[in-house]
Amino acid sequence: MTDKEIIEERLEKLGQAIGSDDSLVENVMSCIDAKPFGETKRIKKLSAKLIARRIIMNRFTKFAAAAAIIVAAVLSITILDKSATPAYAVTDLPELFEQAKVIHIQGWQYFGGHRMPNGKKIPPVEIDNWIDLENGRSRYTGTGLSIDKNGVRVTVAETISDGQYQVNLNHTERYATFFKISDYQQMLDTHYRLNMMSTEIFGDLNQLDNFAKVGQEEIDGVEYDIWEGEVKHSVAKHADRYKYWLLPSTGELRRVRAWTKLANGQWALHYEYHRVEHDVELPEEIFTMEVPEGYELRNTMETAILQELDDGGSVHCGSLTLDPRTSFTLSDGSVILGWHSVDRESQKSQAELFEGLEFGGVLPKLPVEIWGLKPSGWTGDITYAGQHLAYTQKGGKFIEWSLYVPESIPPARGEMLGYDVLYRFNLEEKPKWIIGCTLDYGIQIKTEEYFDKWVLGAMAELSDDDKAPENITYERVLRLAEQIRGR
Amino acid sequence: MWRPCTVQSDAELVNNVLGGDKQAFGVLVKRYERPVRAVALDVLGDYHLATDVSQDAFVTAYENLPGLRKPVAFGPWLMKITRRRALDCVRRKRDEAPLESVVRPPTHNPGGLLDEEKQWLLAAVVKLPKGEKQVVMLRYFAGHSVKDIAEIVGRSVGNVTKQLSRAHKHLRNILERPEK
Repeated sequence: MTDKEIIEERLEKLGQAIGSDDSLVENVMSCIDAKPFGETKRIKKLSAKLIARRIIMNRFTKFAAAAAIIVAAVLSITILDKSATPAYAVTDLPELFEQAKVIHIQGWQYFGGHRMPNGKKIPPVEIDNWIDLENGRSRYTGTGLSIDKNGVRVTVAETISDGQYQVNLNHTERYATFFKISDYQQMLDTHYRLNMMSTEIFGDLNQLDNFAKVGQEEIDGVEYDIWEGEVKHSVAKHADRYKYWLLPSTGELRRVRAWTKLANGQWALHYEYHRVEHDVELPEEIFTMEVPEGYELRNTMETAILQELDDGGSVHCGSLTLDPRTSFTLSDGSVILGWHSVDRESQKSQAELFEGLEFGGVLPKLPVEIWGLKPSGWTGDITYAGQHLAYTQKGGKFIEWSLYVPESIPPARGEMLGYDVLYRFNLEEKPKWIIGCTLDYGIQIKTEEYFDKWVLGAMAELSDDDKAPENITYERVLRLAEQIRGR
Repeated sequence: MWRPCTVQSDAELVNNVLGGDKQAFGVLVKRYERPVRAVALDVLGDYHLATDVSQDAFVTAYENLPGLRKPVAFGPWLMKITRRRALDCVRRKRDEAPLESVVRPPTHNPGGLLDEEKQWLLAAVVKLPKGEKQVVMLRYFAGHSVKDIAEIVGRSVGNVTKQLSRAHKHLRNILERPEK
């Protein structure tokens, strides 16, 4: 039998095993017999729910909510379509955006304030990003700037993830590298990209309150509200201006334009996404990993590099390695970090360093110990001290899971770039090296469901038995953080 | 134009349903019964739950049919609805489960319906690109000929053959790799 015949036979056997149910057609037909078609599309059903929540949650309208509900029951369609007052709060936009299962963003990124080494303007880069959150798939274009005395060089790279493999296409250097990463990592990656996209589009959430509706415009026959506002960044001491086109009935974002303020006070167009779509049909084979002709293949799908969960920020000094693996920020501002440190010259097993450690107790005395964190790029001064939560073992490495609790109110997500690592050496002879290591803000853990999925998922991912430590729960960790803050 | 084939495309059937012909939906249910069950089974691993979810998915599809922008995309759209419904079912089950069992998804194949090899193959089929998945399921699970599939999905026979051959290659690659 040929390979094709073997596959066909196995597929046919599978089809038979899946079986059929004679009563299904009958059951479905009797169910739909009494049903008319839905009045509207699913997106509108969701919108109605969100709008209701917003009316109740908005601080100006909550006292009138009961009366409003009675009126809305009778006049809801008229109010949604005709009212001059938007049926959404602009501050809810990021949440609405992050609830989507599929996101598509198409447009251009500009480099207005920069010039190429030859003095010419840098041409804009086309962006056509897709994220399929349910299946951990994405297609994402990113740009990197390297600046020297001669000017700016832009590197354009595209990452395509099909839920199993990932290919990085460096369009500037024209090469391709394949990776194989776990289901968990693909899901984490897509959520992380969505977070980044949301931060890029909405800037500092606390400043969205200052945005104002400035007009309306028709796009493809549909009327959209236009909102404008300015966001000042304390981190980089600059400002961005944003313009959003929002669907009046739901607040759904359709188009966005952003400018950045240059040193000379002028505004330069930073990006323009002329198409922002939520929960749309994914185009055929959008996540197929085809390498453009003429690109150097650094490897192939068959020889893809197997990647462990890693935030890419590991530091190597002589025989020492400090390897932060992944970080998450909890809703109270505390940070959970999985990390690992080793001295390759040491013959000792690290097992004894983890003996007797307690939940909420001291950290293991690893060669380089991350004893605390500080917000990166923030102008204030605050330290997050570390406590031990648990440890896992993966491929002979011990991964420490620590909780870092801020000593006072931490800065908001938009006010910092991530976290700087505070470390100490637990060695007889202290090296003279200075380690610079920063961490991502990571996914924000807002609920127990998120904690179970992402934090426990990461612990299981970095464990030989694919299990998270049993004693770690969302409630227990939050309670520990509260106790530490109260000390 | 006269057409020798009696198979109606998905797009034609969807338009007939939208025009008031409810029986046309019965044809779509019969056509996609096994593919839908396969998607549900992959997520749930339980034959009875998969049957319930399949029924629910078809009813949801019917209710939302006016929102389907491209009738030709009925198949992949239905698969997506099925997957969502199945995941909702997993979430509901998880919420009902005792605390110690919530971290992991439910164990596959509790009723012994699919052996390990079939589960693995099914997981591989579900992960195929959308177009390939649809034609593989219609060909091997629903038993349609390549010619019929071409009519159903509104593409040429050559295109369907090419997609099947690409799917075979993808599946071969997946199945040849050692299991995770």
